[in-house]
Amino acid sequence: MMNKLIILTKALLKETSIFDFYDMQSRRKSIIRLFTVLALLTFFIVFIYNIVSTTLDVLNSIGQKEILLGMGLSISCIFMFTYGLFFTTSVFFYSKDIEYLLPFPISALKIIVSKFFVVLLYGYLTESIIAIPLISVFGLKESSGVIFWLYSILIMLVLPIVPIVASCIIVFCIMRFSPLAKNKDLFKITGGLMAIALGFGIQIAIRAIIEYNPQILMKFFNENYNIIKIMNPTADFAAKSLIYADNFQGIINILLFIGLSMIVILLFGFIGNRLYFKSIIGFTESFSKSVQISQNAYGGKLNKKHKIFTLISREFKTLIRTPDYLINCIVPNLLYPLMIPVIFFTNIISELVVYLKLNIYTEYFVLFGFCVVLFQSGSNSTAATSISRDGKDIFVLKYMPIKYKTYLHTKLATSMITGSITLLIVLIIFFIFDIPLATLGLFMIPSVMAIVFSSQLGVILDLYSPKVNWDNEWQAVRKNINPIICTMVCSLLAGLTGYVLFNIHLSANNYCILLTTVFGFLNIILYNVICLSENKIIELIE
Amino acid sequence: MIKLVNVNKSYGNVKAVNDISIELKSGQIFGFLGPNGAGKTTTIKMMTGLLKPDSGTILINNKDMKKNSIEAKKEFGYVPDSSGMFLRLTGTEYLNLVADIYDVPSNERNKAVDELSEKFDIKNVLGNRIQSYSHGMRQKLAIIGSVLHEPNIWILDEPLTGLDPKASFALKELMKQYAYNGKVVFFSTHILEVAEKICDSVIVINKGKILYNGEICHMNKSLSEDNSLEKMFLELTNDE
Repeated sequence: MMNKLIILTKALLKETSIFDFYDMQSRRKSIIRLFTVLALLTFFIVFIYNIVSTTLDVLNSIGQKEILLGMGLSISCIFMFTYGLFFTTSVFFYSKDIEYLLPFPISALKIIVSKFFVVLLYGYLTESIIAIPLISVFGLKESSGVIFWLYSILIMLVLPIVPIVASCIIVFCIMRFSPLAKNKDLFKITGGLMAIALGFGIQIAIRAIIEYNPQILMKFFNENYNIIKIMNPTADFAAKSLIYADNFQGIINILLFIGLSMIVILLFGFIGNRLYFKSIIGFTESFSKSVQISQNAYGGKLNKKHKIFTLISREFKTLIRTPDYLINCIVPNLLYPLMIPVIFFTNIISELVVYLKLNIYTEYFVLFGFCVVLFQSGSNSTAATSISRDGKDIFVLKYMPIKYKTYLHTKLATSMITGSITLLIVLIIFFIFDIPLATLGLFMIPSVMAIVFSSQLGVILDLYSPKVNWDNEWQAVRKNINPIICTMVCSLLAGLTGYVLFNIHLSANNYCILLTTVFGFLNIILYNVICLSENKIIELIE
Repeated sequence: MIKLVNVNKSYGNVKAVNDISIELKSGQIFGFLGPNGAGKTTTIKMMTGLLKPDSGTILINNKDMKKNSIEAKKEFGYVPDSSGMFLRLTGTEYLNLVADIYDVPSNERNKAVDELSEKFDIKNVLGNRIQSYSHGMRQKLAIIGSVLHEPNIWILDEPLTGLDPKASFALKELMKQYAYNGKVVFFSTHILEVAEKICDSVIVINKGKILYNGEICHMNKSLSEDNSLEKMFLELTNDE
């Protein structure tokens, strides 16, 4: 029984993992991916560690430090539950393995449990971001003993069970009873928009935490602790077992914590066994309406166009019609103009408009406007998933008489167009606010260079390390490390450029000339790299 | 005309195609036969530019696939063995894209699509996205797309897989018509009865080597007399 379960879990994990250390060819890429993930994780852990450490000092001074542990573990559970909704959908419903697994003589329960283990592993990853720094700060600052650390390990292992089970049961119910689940595309778009809204909310929360006022935070903790405690009963037991680790109350709480989690697991086995397979049957591929074409239906439809236009039009049709691409590549560009002022500069924007109308601080508008555009276009996934998105369709494009350079040009054009959406919206907004055209021009010229730069960089990254062997479009964008690397490089470059040029104090005209020249030069280099690398395509899908 | 001269291809230490040389002349249907893993698909992929040969020359109507690949690719139409292609496009959009890439004039593409979609019975679904098509319907669409530019050479990899009897018949008729019009039809298949019925010549490949290249009637003479193609095929490949 256990042996089969382990084999199945290992196989499913290999399918969903972005790491593959068994295959020699993938090993190098997997190591780079692993280090990138670890670097990001470390960054978040250090970030949270500092926040927790400061908050603990504040709470300690008023004798309410215990509340932090309970609240922190509860927030960690809410995170795991929220991300669990997406992992559950992906592992239980989007992966194609279920079609291959069903005919095997494996019990339904084994499939459910092995898939649950895969989601649980992702749960540990989410848990580590908050729970590791939280428990570490507490343990180190309070100089806790061996029992505390022993309980901590047990809590880290068991804590994700309840939130993950909750997310699984909710997703199973939606898939089983909601009409939305019958249309995979609509479901993906709705889920994607919810994820963006969630991301947006988290960003605002992070901003609030960064600028937090200890009094407000305390008030929030006190007012909401009981509600959150009821929502996450195991987190409360876990927190108490750590707080009272040195006495009998600790043992009682840790036993209650483990016992309750085990009951929840049994409940999951019972409910999952009844819901999962019924819900998976209803979860079909998206369907399009069967339209009968009349005798003259081709009139106006099959018209000759230039092949570049046709290929770009194919790119956009695919981007818009594929929910995963729409959500990850197009929608963020439309939301950025809304998100940037809300997240970063709510007050600054209104002041900026006044200054720009008076031609004051134009130079900083040009410089930092460029930096924001470079960061934003760098985080646009369209360029860094250009080749990956095509998957096995590259095969078709390889035997057709299309120059590889033409193919790459269409990729660049598509990336630049999507990357320009935000800039265009921002320019229109500033134009409506009567910002002088000359100022907008000075901002626009280097910004276009930034978009060209990030688009070329993204295409190069994806050309050298594409993820074309996927069986689900989600993998091409979400399991692809290239957009993360592109975002990191562009953010770093934007930060460096902003810092260095701010300190040398130039006029708006000179900032515009300097940025345009430097990035124009970089763009020429990157374009030549693309042209020299066109034959990389022949190596794909060999 | 297709000409392969001393073409080789290896995957690691495994020699998939071993120094093969073949010449396919116009006006004939060629069947490409061989057991699984014999090197058929590798050969076809090299002929269509999907794979680079390690050595050797491939000429498509005297155009070198290595030196002048775009011009060489314009000469043939290709039906691949897998039917996954631009699944988010509709059938009409896919055919329009193919026609644009091959520079087919509007009136010609409309006429061809009208005629072929009728013949293969997919006219009523051309407005639907390809992702909603069955395997057979996708195969029919790939077949129509491959001949929109009326290529001189038609290369098909296992084209009958997934086709219904009516479409199989239509495809075989179209292949015959193509050869009759002086073009080259080259297709791989496992269905020996089909090869026997419609091929003018067959090429048998096993373990990357060409075992036989010629007309079926001559194959009879070189092997056991009066045998079916199936028996001759088994005799050839078992000797290896």
